[in-house]
Amino acid sequence: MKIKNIKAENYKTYKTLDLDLDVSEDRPIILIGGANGCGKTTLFDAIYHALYGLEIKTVRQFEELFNAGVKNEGGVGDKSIVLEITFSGMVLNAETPYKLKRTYKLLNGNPVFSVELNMNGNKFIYGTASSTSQRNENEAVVNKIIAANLPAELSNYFLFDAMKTSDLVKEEQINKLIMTNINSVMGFNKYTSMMAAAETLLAEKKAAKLDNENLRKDYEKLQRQKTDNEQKLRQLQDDYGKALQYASDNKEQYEQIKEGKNTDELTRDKINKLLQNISDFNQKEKEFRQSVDSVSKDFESKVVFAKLADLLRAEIDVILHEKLRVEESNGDILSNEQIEQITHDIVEYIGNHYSADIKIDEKEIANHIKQNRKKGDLEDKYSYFSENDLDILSGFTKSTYVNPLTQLNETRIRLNNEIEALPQRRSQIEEYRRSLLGNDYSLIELYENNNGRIKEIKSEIDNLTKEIENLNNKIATYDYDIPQVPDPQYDMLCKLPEFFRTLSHRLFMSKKANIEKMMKEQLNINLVIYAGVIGRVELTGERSDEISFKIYHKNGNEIYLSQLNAGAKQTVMQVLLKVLYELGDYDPPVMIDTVMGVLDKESREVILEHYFPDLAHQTILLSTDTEITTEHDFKKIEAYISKVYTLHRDKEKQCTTISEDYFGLSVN
Amino acid sequence: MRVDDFKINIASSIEGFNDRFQDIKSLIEQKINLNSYSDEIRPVILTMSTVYRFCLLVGLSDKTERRIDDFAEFPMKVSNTPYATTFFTKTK
Repeated sequence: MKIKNIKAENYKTYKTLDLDLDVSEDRPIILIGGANGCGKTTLFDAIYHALYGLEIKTVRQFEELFNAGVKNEGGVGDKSIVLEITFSGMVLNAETPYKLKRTYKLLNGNPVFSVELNMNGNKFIYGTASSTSQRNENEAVVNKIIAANLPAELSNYFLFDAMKTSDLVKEEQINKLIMTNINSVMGFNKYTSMMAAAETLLAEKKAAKLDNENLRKDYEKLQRQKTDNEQKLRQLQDDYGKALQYASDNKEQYEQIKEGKNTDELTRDKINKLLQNISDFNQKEKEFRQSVDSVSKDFESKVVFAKLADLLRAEIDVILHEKLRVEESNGDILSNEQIEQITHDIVEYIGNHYSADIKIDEKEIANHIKQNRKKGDLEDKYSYFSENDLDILSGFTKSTYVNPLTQLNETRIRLNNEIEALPQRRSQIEEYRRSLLGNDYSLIELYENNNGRIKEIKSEIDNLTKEIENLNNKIATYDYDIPQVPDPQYDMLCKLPEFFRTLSHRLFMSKKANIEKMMKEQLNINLVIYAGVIGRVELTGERSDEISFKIYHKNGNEIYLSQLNAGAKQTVMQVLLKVLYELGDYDPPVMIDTVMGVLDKESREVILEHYFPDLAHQTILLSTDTEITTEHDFKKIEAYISKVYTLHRDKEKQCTTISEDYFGLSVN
Repeated sequence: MRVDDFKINIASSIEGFNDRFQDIKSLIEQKINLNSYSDEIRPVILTMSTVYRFCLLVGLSDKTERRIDDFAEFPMKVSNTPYATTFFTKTK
C-alpha cells in the first residue's frame, strides 16, 4: 500500500489540507517537519481517520473536531468535515488506485456522514441517507479493501508513535507490546481472530444444533405421528372397502330374510297373544276353583248367613228394641254385667290395699247384689241374652252379606264359554307355528352390525384425515432442513478452532527463527549501546499470544528490556518495526511520529543511516527540527527523501498551513 | 237357652244313606264346577259332610211340614261310625 495524497477540510487544525505523499522507489521518505503542537499528530490522525472513519455521534463531537477558526468565522452551519485519502494497493500484482473520501456534517441538528470509495473507477458509496442494504453492501466492500491494504489493528503499529514506546517502563508492558505487534504484523492475529470467530461460530452452531436437535426431534415426532396415522388410515380404508363390499354382497339376502323375519315376527306376535290368552284363562280358572272350594267349605257363613240375617232381622230388631226399653225404664239399675264388673273391681282393690287374710268370694257377692238389686218396672223378656249375645245379634243384622254364589255362577258361565274356545285357540297356535319360516336370522344382525360399522369407520376416516392434514400443516411450518445424514459443515467447524490454533502456532514457529535472527542483526546495528554484542534474541512461548521477548548478551546474560533507557527502548521497537515489516504479510507505509524521540546522538546517526532508508517502500517521518536537525541530520537522509513539508500553526486563525520545505530546506 | 247349647248328634243313619246322597253330591258338583278344567286343575270335589250340610240347610229353608212317619219307610241302621263334626256340632 502506498499513500499518494491526504486531503482534509475543516478537520481540527486543518482548515484545508492537501498533501502529496507519493514517493519514488529510491526515495521512499517523506519528511514533514513542524514544531510541537502544529499539527503533526493531527496529520497522523487525518490519515488514520481517512482510512478508518471518525466516530461522530453527537453535535458536540462534531464541533470538537471542526476547525475552530472556521467555526468562529461563520459557524458550523452546513459546512462539512472532509477527509480524503488517495492510495494504491497491489491487486493481482497490478497497482490499483483508490480514493477514499469521508464527509461529515450536521443536518437538522444531527450528525450525518457519507463515504465514497473510488477503486479504479468503480465507486462504492454509502452513508446516513443510504438504504440499509446499500449501506451494508458498500460498507462491507470498503472495509474489505481497506483491511486488505492496511487492517485497522496494524495501523497503530505502522502509524508509529516512537515517543510513546520510550515511555514504557515495565518488562511486561514491553513484552506485551512486542507480542501485540508481532501478532498483528505477522498475521498471527488473523488466525487468532479466526480461531476465536470459529469458536464463537461453533458455540452458536452448537446452540443452534441443540435447538435444531429439539426441532428435529419435534419434526421427527410429527413425521412419525403422520406415518402412523397414514397407516391407520390405510387400514381403515381397507376395512371400509370390505364392509361396503359385504353390505353390497348381502343386501338382497338381508332384505329377503328381513321380510321373512317380519312375517315371522307378526306370526309370533299372534302366537304369543293366543298363549297369553290361554294363560289368562288358566289363571282365571284357577282362581275360580279356589273360590268355589272356599265357598263350599264355609258355605254357612258365606251363603247362609245372608239369608239368615234377612230372616232374623225383624225378630232381632224386636229383641233389641225391647231390651232398650227395659234398660231405659230401669234407669240407673245396674245390669248383671255391671254388677259383676264393679264387684270385681272392689274385690281387687281390697286385695291390693287390705290384708290378704280375708277371703272374698266375688261371685257370691255379685249374686247377692243382683238378687237384692232394685227391680225395674218392665219385665225383661229377653234376659237370657247376655250383653255379648246382644252385640252379636246387633252386628249380625247390621253386616252386609253378598252371596258369592251369584258372581261365581256368572264367572262359571263365562269361563265355560271360554273353555269351548280353547281348542280352537290351540289349533290356531299350532297353525301359526307351522307357518313360521324358521330361517336363520343371524345374517340380519351381522348385516346391520356391518352397516353400523360402516358409519363408524367413515367417521374414523374423516377424523384421521383431518388429523393428518393438521400434522401436515404443522410439518410445513418447519423450514429447517433436517439433514438425514451427519452434518459435515458442523463437523468441519468443530475442527476449525484447533486448526487455526495449530496454524498460528506453526506459523509462529516458522517465523520465529527469522524474527529472532533479523532482530539480532538489526539490534546489533541500530542498538548503539549494545551494538555488536547481542548474542541472541529469543521469542519464547509455544503460542503467538504468549510471546516473551528476550535479548541476550553474547556473554550469555539477559539484557532486560525494562533496564534499557528510553532511547534504547525506542530503538528496540523501531528495530522490531523494521523486522516485522520485512517478515510480515503486509506492506503498508510506515509513519513515525517524533522520530528521534529520546535517542542520543550516536543512536540518531545509526537510525538515520541504517534504519530509515530501507525501513519501508514509503516512510513518512514527522519530526521537529530538534529531532532531524536541519544542520546535520537532514543531509544524511536527504538522498532518500521524495518530498519535504513543514507545518505552520497560525494561532490567531487556529489553523495549520503547509509549506513545501523542511524548516526552509528543500530537497534536491 | 244359648245358641251354642245346640248340638246335633245323629244316632242312627238310613241304609244306603250315602248312595242316596251320592247323586246329590254329583249334581251339586256339576252345578258348581266348570264343564271342564285344564289338565293341571282338578274340579272341586265335595265331601259328604259338606253335602249333608247343604242338604240340612236346604231342608231348614224348606217350609214343608215334616212328619216322622215319612221317615218310617227308610230302612234305618245302627252305626257306630261317628259323623264328622259339622257347623252345627261342637266338640268340647
